Amino acid sequence: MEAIELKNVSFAYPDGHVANEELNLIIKKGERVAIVGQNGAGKTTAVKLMNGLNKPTNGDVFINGVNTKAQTTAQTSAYVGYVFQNPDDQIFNSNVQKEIEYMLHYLKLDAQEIERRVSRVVELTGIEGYLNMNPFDVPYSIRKFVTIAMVLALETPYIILDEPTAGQDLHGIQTLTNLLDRLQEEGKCVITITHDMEFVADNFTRVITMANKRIIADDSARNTFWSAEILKEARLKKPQIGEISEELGMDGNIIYRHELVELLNKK
Amino acid sequence: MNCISLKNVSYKYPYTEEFALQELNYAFETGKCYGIIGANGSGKTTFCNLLRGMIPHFFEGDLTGDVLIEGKDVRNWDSNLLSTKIGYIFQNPFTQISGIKDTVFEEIALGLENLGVEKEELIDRVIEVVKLLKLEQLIKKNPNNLSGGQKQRVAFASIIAMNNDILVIDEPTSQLDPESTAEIFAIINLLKEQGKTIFLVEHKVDLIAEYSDEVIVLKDGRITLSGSTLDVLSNIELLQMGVMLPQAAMLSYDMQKADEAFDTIAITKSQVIEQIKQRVGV
Amino acid sequence: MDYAFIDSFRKAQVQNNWFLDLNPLSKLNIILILAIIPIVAKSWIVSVAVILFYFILATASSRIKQFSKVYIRLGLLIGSLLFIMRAMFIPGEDVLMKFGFLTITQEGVDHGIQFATLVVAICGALVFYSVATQAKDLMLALEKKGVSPTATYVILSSLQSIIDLGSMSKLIMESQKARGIETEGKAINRIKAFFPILGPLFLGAISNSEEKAIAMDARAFYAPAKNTHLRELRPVPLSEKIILLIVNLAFIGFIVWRVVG
Repeated sequence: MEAIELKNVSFAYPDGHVANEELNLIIKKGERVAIVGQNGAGKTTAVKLMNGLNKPTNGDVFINGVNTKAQTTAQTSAYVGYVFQNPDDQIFNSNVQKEIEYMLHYLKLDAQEIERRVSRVVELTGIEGYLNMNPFDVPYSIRKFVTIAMVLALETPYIILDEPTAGQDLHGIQTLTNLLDRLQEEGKCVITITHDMEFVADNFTRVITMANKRIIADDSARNTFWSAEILKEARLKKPQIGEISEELGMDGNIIYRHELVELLNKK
Repeated sequence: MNCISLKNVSYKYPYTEEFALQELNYAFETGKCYGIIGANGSGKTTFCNLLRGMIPHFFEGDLTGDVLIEGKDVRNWDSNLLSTKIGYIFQNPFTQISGIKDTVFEEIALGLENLGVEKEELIDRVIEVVKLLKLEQLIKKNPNNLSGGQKQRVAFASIIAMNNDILVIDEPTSQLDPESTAEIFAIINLLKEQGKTIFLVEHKVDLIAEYSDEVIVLKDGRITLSGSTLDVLSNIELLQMGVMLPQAAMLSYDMQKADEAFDTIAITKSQVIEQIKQRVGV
Repeated sequence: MDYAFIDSFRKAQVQNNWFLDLNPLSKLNIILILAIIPIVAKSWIVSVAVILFYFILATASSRIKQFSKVYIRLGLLIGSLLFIMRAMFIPGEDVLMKFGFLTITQEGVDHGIQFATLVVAICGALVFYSVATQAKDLMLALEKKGVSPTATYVILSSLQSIIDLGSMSKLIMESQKARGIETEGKAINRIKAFFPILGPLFLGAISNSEEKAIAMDARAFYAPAKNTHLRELRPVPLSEKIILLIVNLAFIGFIVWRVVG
């Protein structure tokens, strides 16, 4: 099966601290999934299980049918690209373009292929104007796009974005939205961790909610945001439009502005 | 007397051609909370460095115009005194941790030690701030080993423990989840109620709408829009300046398109709900 | 909230061990003496005696586990390396063995033992001091003597940076793995993955320094007020001062005796 599969996975650090318990999950090729939950709920450790950085202490993780325990992290990473939460943990070159090309040279791709890939990712992330700059001289939010570009250049079928929305301005959010659409058109599977509930509502139909080291819900955005139990356990709130609808006593489990406007206009 | 006033202030970083800040003019009053918004790269952090006096004391470069802090030109202020007057919480949580203390409790106490606060009072202040930021479980932990979000909260605690009259706060919630974000804003509100003057850089305009008195919009180093929070955050031109409007404002605008009776734009959740209830009668 | 922990700051920081609670500068004084004795004595017997003494002192100060963990490995490594180098390369008359062009002489062996035990003894001083005294206590003691807080900050911050390099390297390896660079398996893979990163690693540590300076300024580091301290060392009792005086006098006497005699 072309999917990321977690079967009864638990993960504990070497010092014994348990970060994830009993994770069961299937994310298929081409899907677009958001992972939400409080800080400390286990989101990052869970996605690191998907790219082989963490190996399960119990249970198994399969990428396209291959157990991650049977591979090195580098081998699994050929299928699952991961953009770290902190871009500064991932950047080592003094030049944006070199950073993006680094792995492509390592993989011994020919010059034409490298150029094609670089153009594609630069266009997707909008970092054209920064190519010759030192990554540490550009704003933090742009550095995030540099790491996204770097990972996208590897053209993995599965891509994990860890909090790409943190610190982004309007333009950054729009770029991310367009990026997600383009990647879906290309048939890539994108998994995104984010705290931005509006972004989740606007961009994802499937939402995985984590709390206390476990997955407590795996449902549509609408159902997730309108379940009082899920919101309470995960300590989350609905997008503001949802809250407004709720306080106005509107039916229909609204999460989009246009839905609310239509309903109100009818009245 | 104004807390901080800017007259025709422009600034270039050393060895650069472009202005990082251009022709800033504004009078900031004591006791208000000023929201500072703008696209990334518009000069918000440079603006913070200016307000705090890091420009010109720490960052050299070309500063023209008058920056008056409590009536006195910033160039004439002893920079060491400024650090006792103005607290600064800045963007990167990872470099704000001192690295020289092994417990969170001592980390928070560091600023107070430097201010010469007596031990008993120092301990009481740290306890107060620990409770406020809900850091009780972390007090014995090594601050260098905390997660980004935890570091951000510890850095925040460390500065507010110092009880400065003026606070410059640069994106304090970038690493935080919604619940912790709401808590930080509630604390900022508390600090304002204590009479402090607050400058807050944030992308989360919904929360700026709730808690700021006035808003400044920066674009390419200039103030392109400023005024009361309501006036600024209800202005659709914000979108051209690269800034989102609050969700409530967008809703208000959409309602306005359908029904001209919506003549004002609400910017907070409660305002828009009120507005809708009145007009639509739900 | 752990109020017991908070209350511990209200009094002087003591560990209830006669040696550990000595003032860090007193401990430094003693350790320096122990470090210099083998240099002046020039005798492998004295060096070994001092080495054994460190073990006794470590036990007395409840630090034997931490001390042994580092010192035994370090001592054996350095000791054997230095011994072999001296034994094999010092020329002499009294040949013991020959391996091709390598000649092991009695003189070489003697020198080897002498030198190796000396260096291991000096290392013992360093290792023991580092397990018996926390850097922050030493800095506190120095500040009380008038050393500027800027100096102690630089030292502590540098120490932390060294520790940070360790966790940074881990992070780098993780990042390399996540990109697809093979780091597991053969050692050569690990080295190839790690090497290109060394430059940026150090540059990153250095470029942070501007932000760190701003961070310290934000904590009123340069404020004109006189610093107070949350942690306090116990005041140095008269008995400690007297013992230290006696030890120092005995040491000076020992030096004089060795130099004159």
